[in-house]
Amino acid sequence: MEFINRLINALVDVHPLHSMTVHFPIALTGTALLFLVLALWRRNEALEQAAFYLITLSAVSTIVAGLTGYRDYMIRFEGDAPLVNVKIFLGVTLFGLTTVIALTRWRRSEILWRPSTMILYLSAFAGSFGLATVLGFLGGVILYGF
Amino acid sequence: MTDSFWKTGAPSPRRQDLLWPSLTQALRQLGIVAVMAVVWGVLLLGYLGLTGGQPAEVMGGDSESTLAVVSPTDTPVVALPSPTPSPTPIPPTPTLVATAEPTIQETSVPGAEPSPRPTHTPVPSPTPTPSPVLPTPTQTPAPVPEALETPQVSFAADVLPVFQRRCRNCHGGEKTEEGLVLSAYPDVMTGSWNGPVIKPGNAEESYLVEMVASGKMPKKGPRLLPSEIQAIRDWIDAGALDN
Ligand code: HEC
Repeated sequence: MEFINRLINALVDVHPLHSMTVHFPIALTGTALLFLVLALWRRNEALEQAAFYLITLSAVSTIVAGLTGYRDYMIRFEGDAPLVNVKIFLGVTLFGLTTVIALTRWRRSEILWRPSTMILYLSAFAGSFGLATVLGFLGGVILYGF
Repeated sequence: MTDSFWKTGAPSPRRQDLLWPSLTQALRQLGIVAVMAVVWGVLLLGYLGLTGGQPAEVMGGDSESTLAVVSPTDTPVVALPSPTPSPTPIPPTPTLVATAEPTIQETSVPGAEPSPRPTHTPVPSPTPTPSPVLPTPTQTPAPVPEALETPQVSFAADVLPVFQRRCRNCHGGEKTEEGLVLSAYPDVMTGSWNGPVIKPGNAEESYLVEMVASGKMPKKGPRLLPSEIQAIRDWIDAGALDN
């Protein structure tokens, strides 16, 4: 019981929630890009579908990361943390981009296989992974300095 | 038609009709990507211009500038796709509240005693009531500023725990980097091999404050939280007492 209480206390009060949740968008956008490249290389529809699921999940997890980030910003940093402006802008872009990718792929499942949209689709995945890593780096700057 | 997955042997659908983009198709798509990237960059710069964030300054920023980049008013309205864009007003740090008198407007409960420390946006209104001549006890400003100037900070309760949590591994216990020990009041005041790191009554010129505000200390690991730095500042400004 004591251990469980300490665990809950550590998770809710001591450890910053944002630092935990941000790993999801970073990992999911990265894996989505990897699966997309693999799909193209292997010409494999199953892998392409996996990339679609991953980018959809990353859009959802970005919401969680954003909300916990805002909470940590207001509560832990008391509204006084560096780089917050930039991070909010990049975060909103990341959410928008992943959502647009997921919705577009949902409506038009052939998007990767058409020569007229292949590069656009790949670039969008690469862009979202890039955004997520830059956001992660800026978070590191807040905690550890530059 | 179907290929099989590596090792598992499960059937995997392999497309036979894959067409690579032609040169014009590739250029067109790359062009679209480039245009969108530029538009996005312009939006980002415009947004930073509007909100007053300057990334270059932030990145190389030292001490104050780093922490003061985002003032509460900068909080963008479009913060998040959540339905409530920042409804919480950010409490101002209680450093320069000496001018603010506790007025009736502040305490939302009428008749309640004015608290010694205002919690939210102190309004320095000169005349809260039409007749300031009346010797109402709440209107006597004389003893108030003194109590407000130095927020009650205790070394044992507010400052030492921070040192023990965040500095003990290197300053106290087994290691004493640079001769600096932060595990008890006398050691803290003694300072390092280079002399005192705390100047009682003057946080701005205290080396220790400089080190934690700039993020140079703790040497490894996350910075101190703004509230922790503020507690150290307030404690030093109040005379760095052993309280
Ligand atoms: C990981 C080890 C480590 C931790 C943790 C750490 N320090 Fe230090 N500190 C050092 C080292 C090493 C030096 C020597 C100067 C240098 O390398 O920058 C130093 C130097 C200092 C100095 C300057 C002393 C002088 O006269 O040059 C101050 C002040 C200081 N630390 C304060 C703190 C405070 C306050 C904390 C906790 C919030 C802290 N340190 C946590 C390793 C650490």
